[in-house]
Amino acid sequence: MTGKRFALYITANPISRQGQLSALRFAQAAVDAGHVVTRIFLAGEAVLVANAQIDTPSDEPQLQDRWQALASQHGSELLLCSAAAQRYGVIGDTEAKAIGRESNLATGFAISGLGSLVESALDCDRVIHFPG
Amino acid sequence: MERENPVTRQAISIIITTPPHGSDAASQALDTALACAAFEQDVSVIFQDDGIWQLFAQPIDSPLGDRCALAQFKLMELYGVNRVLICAASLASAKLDQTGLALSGTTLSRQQIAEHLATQTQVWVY
Repeated sequence: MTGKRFALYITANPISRQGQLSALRFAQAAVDAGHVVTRIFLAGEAVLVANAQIDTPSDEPQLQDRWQALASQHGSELLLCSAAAQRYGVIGDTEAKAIGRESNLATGFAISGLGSLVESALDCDRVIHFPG
Repeated sequence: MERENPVTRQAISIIITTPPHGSDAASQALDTALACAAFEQDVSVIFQDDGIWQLFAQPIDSPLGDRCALAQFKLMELYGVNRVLICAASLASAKLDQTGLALSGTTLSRQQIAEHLATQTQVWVY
């Protein structure tokens, strides 16, 4: 069997909704079945998961850690929509310098644009949307 | 972007099922539609279920604030999103018809929408 290339498009809030956990489980199942999860594109309130200052209670799913683990084990890109990151206060190094604030972007995540979502539609076999 | 841009064109459908006010879903849907159109993809935007309420003009100084994307929807034509589809059954179930729509589009039956979606490479729902 030849593995398919998947991209995940996530707009679900990491704190109040189920979508990100579903997406993680989907990603793990895809990888276990021999597929490739090329890119995880976070937009809207989904970008909140990349805030390094989030302190999730220990009995709740550690979504940020789990995305980082997935990315480092399987080489998936973790990308944030730049407009959403700006709105939700997730600031990368470049932006932090420009506005004179501290960066709070968690390791392993990068800020990108909606163009990356379009790119996923072009270079992956499937883009799966997790809206909520 | 370092990666070479493949010159393929995908058929992308964006379905809006949420009403104006109360969430920014429609505005997210619109941003995505415009980005896809800017990258020269073949984009359709479909208003369905409560999403049809996005199509009606809201008072300019709405006490509900600015969570209404109607003004931005008018950008679709500029960006080349030419296919705006409206679910006729959703209009009918809200006892509405095409008169008074602030945005023009093609009304389709559920069957016709299903046939359209069968031809698409990506379908994203908001």
